[in-house]
Amino acid sequence: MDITIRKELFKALRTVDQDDKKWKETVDASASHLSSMCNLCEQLRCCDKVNLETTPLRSFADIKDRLQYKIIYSLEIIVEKLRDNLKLLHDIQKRSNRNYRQCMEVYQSNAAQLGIDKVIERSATEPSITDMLEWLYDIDRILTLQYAKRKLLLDIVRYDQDYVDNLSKQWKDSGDLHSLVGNVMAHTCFFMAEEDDTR
Amino acid sequence: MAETSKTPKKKRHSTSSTASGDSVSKQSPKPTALTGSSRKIKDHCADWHNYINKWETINDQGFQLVSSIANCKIQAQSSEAPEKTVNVITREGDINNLQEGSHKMPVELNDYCTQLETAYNSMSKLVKKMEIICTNLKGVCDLELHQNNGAWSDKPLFQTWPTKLFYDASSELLSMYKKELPIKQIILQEIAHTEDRDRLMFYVATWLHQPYIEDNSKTLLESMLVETGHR
Repeated sequence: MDITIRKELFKALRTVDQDDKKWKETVDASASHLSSMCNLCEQLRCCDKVNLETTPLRSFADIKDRLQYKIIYSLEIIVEKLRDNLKLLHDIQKRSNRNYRQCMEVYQSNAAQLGIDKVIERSATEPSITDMLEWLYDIDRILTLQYAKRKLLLDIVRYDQDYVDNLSKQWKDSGDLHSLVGNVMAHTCFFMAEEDDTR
Repeated sequence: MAETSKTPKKKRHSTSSTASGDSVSKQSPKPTALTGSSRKIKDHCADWHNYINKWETINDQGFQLVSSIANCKIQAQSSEAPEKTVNVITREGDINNLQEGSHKMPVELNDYCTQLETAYNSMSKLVKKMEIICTNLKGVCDLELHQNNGAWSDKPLFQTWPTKLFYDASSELLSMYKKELPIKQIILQEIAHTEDRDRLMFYVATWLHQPYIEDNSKTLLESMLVETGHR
């Protein structure tokens, strides 16, 4: 295979592995924020349900409004933290996209020289160029969808229990991303090892 | 929720004959130059910081206690209806699903209530100390008016603040804590006798979030500390 395309694929796949770990860490780091959100929504719900007139706090006429303000303020702080995590996920997605595009650019500028036979050639220890390009595309697609899902959840966030429970569940779910990356890394381990040795 | 900030060292300056208002300066007077009113104001600003920090610490301890009391009550209710799974409150972290609990009210409930009462009493003492600060600052203002024939001094004691502003800021802070204290008392009196889960959560949230301690309390405190050179 052409050395240039091999180099680009090696760089891209190495980044994929690192970014998969970073993605998982970032999603895991959001767990405490999501838990806090659920708890605060529960407090908001209870505050809304309580009939102040039946409590000894009835003489504090504006206490419910004040409490709701404080809870929503805390919720907004947490949403900002989730947005910070989302930014990290976006950086990962952009990097993946950039890697894929770079590999495609190098492939396309060398495609005529390589010829179709070389491009689809596989061996027992190495997948073909097309395989690896296709995997990079799949990973980029999943990352794009996963990022877009989380972005939408935050853009239309509502502070009600059902929505936040669903947000929490959806946020933690990265779909097939990790299994796909695991499979890709397994299939390319000899390729990666060989490229690493020649560097 | 409570911010932790460094406690400014409370500087007790030796009395000096150097006047504090020699020149118009954007810097706070150096510690050795502070006497009389400016020393009093600077010390009281440090007091405000210390008292508010202590209040926040007690509030956090109190939150743990009210949560524990609420959890005991919910646990007792769930033990009467073993099929139900209820959410148990912890600090803005987890909501744990509770399985069957014990059939009796836990023996710790009495301890929690006693500790909560101790926490409330400490908060009550802090508010009394805050009142003393305000009284003293009122005295400083009255002295300045007396010394200037009913007018305020042209020169600020520190950087830009007229003396009255320290009293106004202190009064505003005191007002917040005086409004918050009776709420703490009501929660103390009611929480162990409340059966309704929503009301329990409402009391816990009210204790935690302190609805009458407004957002600008931090700004007021920091402004006083910056003005007097603590920051």
